[in-house]
This record gives sequence, structure tokens and C-alpha cells, in this order.
Amino acid sequence: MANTQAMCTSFKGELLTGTHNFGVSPLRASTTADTFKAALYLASATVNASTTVYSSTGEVTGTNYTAGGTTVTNATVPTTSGTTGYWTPSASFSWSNVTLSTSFDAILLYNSTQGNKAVSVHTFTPQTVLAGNFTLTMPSNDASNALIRLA
Amino acid sequence: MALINTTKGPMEEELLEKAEGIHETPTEISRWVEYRHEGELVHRSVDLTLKDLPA
Repeated sequence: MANTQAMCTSFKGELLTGTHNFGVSPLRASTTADTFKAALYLASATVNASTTVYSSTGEVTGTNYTAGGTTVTNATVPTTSGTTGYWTPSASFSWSNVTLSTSFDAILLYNSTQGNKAVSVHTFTPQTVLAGNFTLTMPSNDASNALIRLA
Repeated sequence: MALINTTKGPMEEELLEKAEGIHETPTEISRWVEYRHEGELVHRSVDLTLKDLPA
């Protein structure tokens, strides 16, 4: 037998369930999942890997769009496959009958339970919506395509 | 008779000119629908699917 240096695959999945806490906060007394939200950002905004928390600066505004974005439907348990931990929301993000006439091209996924801490930024071709619906359909929830993947 | 939400309020679809299309890149596929009334864009909806996401 030989030892092999690696980051344990189970650890990647357990990160997504908050099992591990290397610091002293947050103190978890609840066994329920955190609430995540998804907010849209203008093409002129600056959300990226350095984003640490949700901000309304650069967020889209318009008819029937509520600041802060939409609540993510989370009925999927994070899991692993191969050496990848992954998770995908269980429903698409959607906004109905909105008017977003200034180009937007990004969505920020953030944890509204934990001080609006940022999770990820996903970009796409700039869009506008006029008295219509904007739906961001989720990819397949697997190790190659999931929205959040820790490879 | 289908009603379409527009910037001018709900309008009957037969009064509008419809255009739709698909735009695909290596990282996304989007389907859009537009309606025009007398040449003016009054409705646009988009359904976008992300793919090839970074890990």
C-alpha cells in the first residue's frame, strides 16, 4: 500500500453542506440549508472572482424586477462524482413580465442567510428584456455540467 | 386569441409581428422571442441555458 497526496473528494461535497468550519464563525445551530439568491447585473457592472458580497451597485433595475434578485430553489442535495463535488439549483431562475432595457450579462449567486456572501458569478451574452420573461435555465446536474462544481 | 404582454399593455398576438431565433456560443444557448407593433419593438423574452461552466 502507498499513501497518495490529495484533497479528499468527500471534503469537496461537504463544503457544499457547510460541514467543515476552519474558523470560529459562523456558528451553525440550524440543520436547514441556507437560502441562496440570484441577482442580475448590468453589462457595465463589475462582478467577478473578487466579489465577496451582494451589492446593488450595478444591479439591473426595471419594471417588476426586485432588487436582490430571485430566491434560488434548492431541492437538490450536493454530491460528488469522480473527484468533483457539485450542486445545481433544482429550478430555473426566472423573472416574469419584466422590462430590463439596459443590457445585462451576469448573474451573481449569493448566500442571503450568511450575510449575502458571494458564491459565484456566471456571465452570458448581453441581453435586454421588454415586457417579457427572462429565464436562466439550469444545466444538467452532473460532475461535468453542474452550476457549482469543485473539481 | 393569445394576449401578449407589451410595453403598450396586453395586446392580441395577431396584431403583432413575431420574430424568434436561437443564438448559440460555446458557453450558452439562448432562445429569444420579439414582437413588434407597427415596427416598434414592444416585447422581448429570452430563455437562456448556460453550458461549459468553469469549475
